[in-house]
Amino acid sequence: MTGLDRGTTVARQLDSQIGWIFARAGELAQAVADRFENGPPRRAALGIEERVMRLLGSHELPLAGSGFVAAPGVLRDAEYWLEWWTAVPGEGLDGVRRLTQPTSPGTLGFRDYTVLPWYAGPRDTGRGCLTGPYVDYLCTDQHTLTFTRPVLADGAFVGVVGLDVLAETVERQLTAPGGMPAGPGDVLVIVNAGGRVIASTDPMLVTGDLMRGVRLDGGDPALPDGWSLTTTKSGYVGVLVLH
Amino acid sequence: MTQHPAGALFSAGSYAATFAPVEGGSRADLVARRLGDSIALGLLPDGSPLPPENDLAEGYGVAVVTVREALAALRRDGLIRTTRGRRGGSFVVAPTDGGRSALLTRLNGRGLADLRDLADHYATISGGCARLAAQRADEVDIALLDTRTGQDDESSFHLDLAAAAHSARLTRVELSIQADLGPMLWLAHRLRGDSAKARERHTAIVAAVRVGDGEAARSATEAHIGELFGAVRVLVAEARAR
Repeated sequence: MTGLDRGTTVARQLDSQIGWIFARAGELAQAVADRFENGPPRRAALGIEERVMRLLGSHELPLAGSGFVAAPGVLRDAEYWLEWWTAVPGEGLDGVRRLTQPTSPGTLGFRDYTVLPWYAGPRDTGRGCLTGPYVDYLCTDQHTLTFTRPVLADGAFVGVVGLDVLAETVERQLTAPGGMPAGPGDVLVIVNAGGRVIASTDPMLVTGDLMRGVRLDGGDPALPDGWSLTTTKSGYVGVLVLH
Repeated sequence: MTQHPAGALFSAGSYAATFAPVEGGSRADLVARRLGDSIALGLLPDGSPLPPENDLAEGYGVAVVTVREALAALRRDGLIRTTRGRRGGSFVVAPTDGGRSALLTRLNGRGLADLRDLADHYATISGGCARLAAQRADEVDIALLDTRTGQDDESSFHLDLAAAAHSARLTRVELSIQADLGPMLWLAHRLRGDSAKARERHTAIVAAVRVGDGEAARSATEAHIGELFGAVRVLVAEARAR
């Protein structure tokens, strides 16, 4: 198996997981949008907990969190609101906690989430966004990938829904037996479009590092959409770029 | 349902929710102190409802009976009032001086050497974060820091600076320092601070991060934290002069 083949295999595997995540986010977004059918709902009427629990308990992929984050002023009884649950990947529902985050502007500990990339991205582009890996101090306190989609009620943006995956979870898949058929000296590094390392089999490059000047070779027909595989002079078999 | 500004007393995330280590006192004392500090320091609006007892218990990771004990202590101190009935509950009784006297009392009970120690700790952590951020921040991180610079929100600025260092551990330390010091720094800054100066410092820090100058980022951050603590020192001097 060449480095290119390996990269392609990994890209396909990750791509199908990302597809699964965005599909679930889409369902969650629809469930929230339905609550806006008769005008602005109250917080208590959002009722997404059961659906989120099903996601966090899913065996498809170990998730680190999920929920809904409201746009300011769209709910009847709160200006800012987020309804989010964190999970410890692999612990199932035992590790699930409701996030308790201050949501009143002007009070201590309030964070204006509307400027954070995972919120601003879907709001400004109208599309699903992948943010990270970044250190998520609101939820996981670890290097996290956050997948968010806009929630549109009657065409108007009312917030985002999202799912969190730890970068460590991705890395584990690469390094698990059978996950990454590596030969001696072979490494595979997965970076995001900004060159930030998501996961790597190379001990010299770890999650969160920046690989500056990653060259994009353009799409390879064997790769899923949005992926590039590039080799570098310094002996990397493959750098997968997710964009 | 009403909104619960006292949710502000829960820190962000599972780690921070365990709070800084407590020396002495019972669990009820701890809950009373955490809740009471924020009320006494004027950080919660007058009349705002506390979350239900069950939510408080879950938020602090204590039994409901412990929360009741803490609420009784707060009632005795005149920091909350409690009403019965369907719309009943506990409500914040905000101080009339914006929390100034509570802050002065609290500062008076804290030695200057202890404060300097805290300042050194914070400056070292935050300065180190700034240095790493200069190596590791990307465009997204820098754009966020730019936004925070204009928001006059010390706490979020420093958290995002720590996050831009892409170190989970340092970010957790930053969170835990803020859980301990947050109310004091926040109020001292509000009462004595110079917002224009702070903004100038934030701008200089971000500029150094942008060009990848780690040493400049670090020294600007250390100077900035020195100034924040300078505001605290002035308040201590005032407290002692009374």
